[in-house]
Amino acid sequence: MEAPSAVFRQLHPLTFVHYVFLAIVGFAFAALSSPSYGGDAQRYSLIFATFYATVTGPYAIAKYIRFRYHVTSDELVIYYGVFKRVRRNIPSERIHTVSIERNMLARILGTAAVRIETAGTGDAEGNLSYVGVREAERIRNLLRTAQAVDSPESPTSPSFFMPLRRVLLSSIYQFSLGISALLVGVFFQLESFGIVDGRALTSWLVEQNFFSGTIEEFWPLLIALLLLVTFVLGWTLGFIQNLIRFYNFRIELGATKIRRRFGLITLHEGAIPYKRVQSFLIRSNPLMRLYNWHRLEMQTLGLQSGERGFQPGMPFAKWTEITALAPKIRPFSIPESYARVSRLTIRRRTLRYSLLIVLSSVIISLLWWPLALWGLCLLPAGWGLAWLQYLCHRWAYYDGNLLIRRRVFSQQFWIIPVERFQAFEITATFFQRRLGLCTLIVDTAGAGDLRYPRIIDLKREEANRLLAELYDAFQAEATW
Amino acid sequence: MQILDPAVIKVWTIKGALSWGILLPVCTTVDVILFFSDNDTFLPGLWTGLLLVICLAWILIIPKLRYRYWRYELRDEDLYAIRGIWNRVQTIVPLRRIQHLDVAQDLIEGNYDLARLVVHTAGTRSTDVVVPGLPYDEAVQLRDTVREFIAEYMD
Repeated sequence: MEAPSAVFRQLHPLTFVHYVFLAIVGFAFAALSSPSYGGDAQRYSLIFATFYATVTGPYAIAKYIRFRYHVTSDELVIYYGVFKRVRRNIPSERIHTVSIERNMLARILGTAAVRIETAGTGDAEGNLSYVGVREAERIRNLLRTAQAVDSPESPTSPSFFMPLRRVLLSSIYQFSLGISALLVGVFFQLESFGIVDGRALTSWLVEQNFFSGTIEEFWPLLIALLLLVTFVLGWTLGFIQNLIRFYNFRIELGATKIRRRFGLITLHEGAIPYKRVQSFLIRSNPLMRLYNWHRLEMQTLGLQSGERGFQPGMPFAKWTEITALAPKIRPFSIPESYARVSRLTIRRRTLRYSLLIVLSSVIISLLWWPLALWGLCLLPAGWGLAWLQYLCHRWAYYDGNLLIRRRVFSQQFWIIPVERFQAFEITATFFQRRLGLCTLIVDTAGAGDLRYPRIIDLKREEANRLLAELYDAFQAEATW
Repeated sequence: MQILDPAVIKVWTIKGALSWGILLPVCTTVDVILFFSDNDTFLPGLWTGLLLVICLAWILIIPKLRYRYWRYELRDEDLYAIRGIWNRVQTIVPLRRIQHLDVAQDLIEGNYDLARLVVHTAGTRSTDVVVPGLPYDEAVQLRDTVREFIAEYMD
């Protein structure tokens, strides 16, 4: 393979600081999540740390030395690889996105990561982590100039901007149980390392005499207290997470791309070409809907896999703001009326929930008889939920888009342009077949494994008719 | 609509037996441990026996049912497939959405001269639509037909 010439550049020398930081985080995470057995914990940690430093240290140095890049207005060339040498040429005209990311450490060190994405890839095809800030801007400008289709436009006012007040307001609606669970896990690991003493903490709490009598007498109070603490913790962490993520969120609609800039600790700055947007997903929960707040996400093709193909478009906006801005990205209009799915869905869902409740009650009753029989009181709730799901599930095929609204609490509203369909599917479970129902699914590029558009419990004839209509429209609209 | 090659039933039976067979050492170990412990709750060999019964029922029934419900057809502009025992799935993959095609064959399929046609799209759910149990030559022919169709329309 041809060796890189003198015009090729190396990454910023401070990249090493990033490597060291990542190594420390990786080590801490591995050490905290690894099983520990009392006093052996420190010994295992020491062995692990030595192994980690011996293997990853030289590899990081070799990786840095091997990495070279060269940018011209025509292409980006990267040499990389320690064991396997790779030369990658990315022609400028194939580049869809050049984004610059600066996390807190990068901002302190004056460095930035440049991510270059092309069509049809799941992850960034070129990743320059890390270069100087001026160098990052030089690379972006060079590649943008070559693309010509979206040359740096004169600074425009943002098409959508979230001032601090709105970010704070949006954070109020957020709740994160995931981080709470992680914190609890970390707490237990710290305890196993002897850094935190859980027993001493419990003894201290008991000594405070918050309540008299035995713990058994107050267990409902303790459970309620635990739930309250979990809720407060989940809400607080959700608030902080949202504030950090969407701080100073702004998007600008260019001629061919949507430019976005947001983030408090990690600054995300990049552009998404319009043609990469596959569909829209507008989400909300009952509390948000009460005050007409919604979140617009764009399902995109092949952006970073961490986002699972869904990119925040308008994290917190009024319905009128969304319907004014989103059609400029991909045209759509909102129909006046929607069709409902079959009423038989209530019967099918009620049956499913009833089976689930009865089965759970039977299993729990083996342990706590007759307490578990109270679980049967949930049967009417199952029927209520099925009825609400029926009311909330609607669809329409209107103006070249399939629109689907579903779910009660975490409501989803999909807008899928017909020319973006990838495949069509009709599925029918055993119970659905007994009732003459089925589910219509339209597959699109970039949807999640669990989050994808579907109309559940359509009548079979109606599903066939809709499928034929959608397929005909697809044949007429979709390009090769 | 086309049906699969009946030899696919044997392929699925062998694969099913191998999949269930992985659990056999686990169940046998549990039974041996229980046999040598002070256990009087479970009958000796209960778990291994149970596994063998389920395994036998599975490999005798499921492959035949799968075969019975599998149908496919290469139509003018799409590939149409119907399959599934409990959950009946009907898929339409427009040929213009196909990213690339594979003809795959493993050792067991090779023994019966069978192959699978794997159709890749950019979608998420139907990214890989697999038509199993095709005679190898037929799978290659099917792939070439689809490839020619795509090439013709791309021009």
